[in-house]
Amino acid sequence: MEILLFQASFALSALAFVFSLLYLFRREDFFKNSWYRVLLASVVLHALSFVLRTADFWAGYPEGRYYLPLHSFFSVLSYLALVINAVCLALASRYQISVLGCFVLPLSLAAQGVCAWFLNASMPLLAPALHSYWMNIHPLILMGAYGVFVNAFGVSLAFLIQERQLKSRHPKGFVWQLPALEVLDRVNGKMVLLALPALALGMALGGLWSWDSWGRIMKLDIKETGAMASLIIYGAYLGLRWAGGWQGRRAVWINLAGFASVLITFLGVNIRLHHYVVSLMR
Amino acid sequence: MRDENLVVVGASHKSSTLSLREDLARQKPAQALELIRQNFNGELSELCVLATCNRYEVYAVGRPELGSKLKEFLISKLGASLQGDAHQGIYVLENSHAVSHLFSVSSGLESMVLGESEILGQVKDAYELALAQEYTKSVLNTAFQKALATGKKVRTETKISEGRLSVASVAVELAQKIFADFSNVAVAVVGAGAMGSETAKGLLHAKPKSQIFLSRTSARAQELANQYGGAAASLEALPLALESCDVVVTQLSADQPPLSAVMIEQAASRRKRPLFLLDIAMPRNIEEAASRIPNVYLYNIDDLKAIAETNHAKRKAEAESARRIVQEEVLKFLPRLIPLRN
Repeated sequence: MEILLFQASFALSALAFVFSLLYLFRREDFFKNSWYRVLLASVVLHALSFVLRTADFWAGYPEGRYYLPLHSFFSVLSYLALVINAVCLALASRYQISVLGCFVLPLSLAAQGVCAWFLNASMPLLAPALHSYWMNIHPLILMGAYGVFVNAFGVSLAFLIQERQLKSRHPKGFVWQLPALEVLDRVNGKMVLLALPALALGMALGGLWSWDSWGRIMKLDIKETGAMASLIIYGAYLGLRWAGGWQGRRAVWINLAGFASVLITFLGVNIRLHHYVVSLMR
Repeated sequence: MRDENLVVVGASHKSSTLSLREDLARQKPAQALELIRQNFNGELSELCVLATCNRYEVYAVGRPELGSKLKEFLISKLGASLQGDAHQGIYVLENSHAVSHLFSVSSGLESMVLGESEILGQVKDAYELALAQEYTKSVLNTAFQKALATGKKVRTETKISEGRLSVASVAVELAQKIFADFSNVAVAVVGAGAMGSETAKGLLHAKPKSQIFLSRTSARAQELANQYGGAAASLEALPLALESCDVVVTQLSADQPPLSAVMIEQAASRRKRPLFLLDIAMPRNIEEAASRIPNVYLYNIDDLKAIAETNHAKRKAEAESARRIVQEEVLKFLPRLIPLRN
């Protein structure tokens, strides 16, 4: 049932993406309202799927009871897609960035698509080190932060397109669809301001967990180093905005560098080097 | 028992001269409604008057000859000072033609600025006035409600209302795509000649947070500040204005040195917000290289005109789809007119 709900949510996300594209090109409110509603339905089904997955995990594996099943790549990626979609929906409606879906949903769709087509959804047993209440905190916070960073990436793309259009002095149709540069710039700043402390907290809590389990805070594998690099880049982004007055395109490029770091950290080294997470390919 | 027509009698910017419409417009809609009712007692059952800057129209339901009689009435009573053949600008449309006309009007297809949205509110106001004073019954109620719905449908399903058509409104819309909130934007108008342009007037009309006028002499700047409100300064304060204002409109005379890219770059480097420069002078006041400075958006008068013209062409292309929707809605509505003729 949970897989069925996940697949339905995936299909709805894809439909929401199509509607968001239609809104970008056709500018009809019907398509805007449609992608909001369809994405909301997708988020609800996805959340329900996650709840059922947790219930299944607890029912089939009593020793793992009270621990969230975020120890397989499928679970982590699926949860990340859920956060991305939920944040996208909140951002688009709160700040009237009605085209945000065009920039963000491809990434959540990619995450859901990898889950649906390439990963095994079965839930492995928890490694002994993961029998910890940190299991419910560390990945949850970090994936939450990553979900917000993905949305900041989408906003950054929208900014670059809008900025390029306005600079060209011959703006085309998209310029009237996208929000003002200042709105995109501010939303970007707010996103990073929200996600950066979460990233720092998630890393600190991971360190505590590591200390509890293995007696060391970090072993500085590539994943942990990558997370540290992301922390520094996004920290520099906020610092340069506030202290250096960096706005606009320059700031956006730092934001994009931060996102590249997050992506490499998450995807490049997730399976093999952060060995606590179990990867089950089909 | 019924053998009535729905008629519209009126004059628009397409059919008549301004003086004819001025003549007609002397009678406010409320007065016109009363006057027509007094003079056509028993000859008409429903009435509504639509008066805008570009049209003056009487919609009525009544006996078949009502159209020509209303036309004569408009000429003799409302347009008493008409001379020569000016009255030929008054048209009479009946039944399906009248409905089609009303739907086209509410859709902005008959407007001077194709697709403009203001007309929808004006049609609504006209209808509500007549409704409140019980001048309308089933036919005009349905016709006007359907016209309003069609007007909305046309604007939702086509892009006929999209894109600004005047250079001034294009400038304001561009500013709104750069800054989050135009009411939090400071505007500088550089050069006394700038206020002769629609661009500067349009920007000030959009109610920025503050405005400052810079001219060769402080006295001339002060005159403009007194006239339009805001602060005044001489051109010596230009570097400071570039640093502190968000939108700068320039129209300096040719004998003034141009604003160098270096000066603008220095100002931009000290700013935290983007800088929107509108060079509406001929010859241009701002060095072209300024357009390459980060966070600086430079537009000249030709850029603004090109955007306005593109928007106009797009609206014209959309008019065909809009007319199709109007036709469909008229066809749907016509069966409701049939009882009038039975």
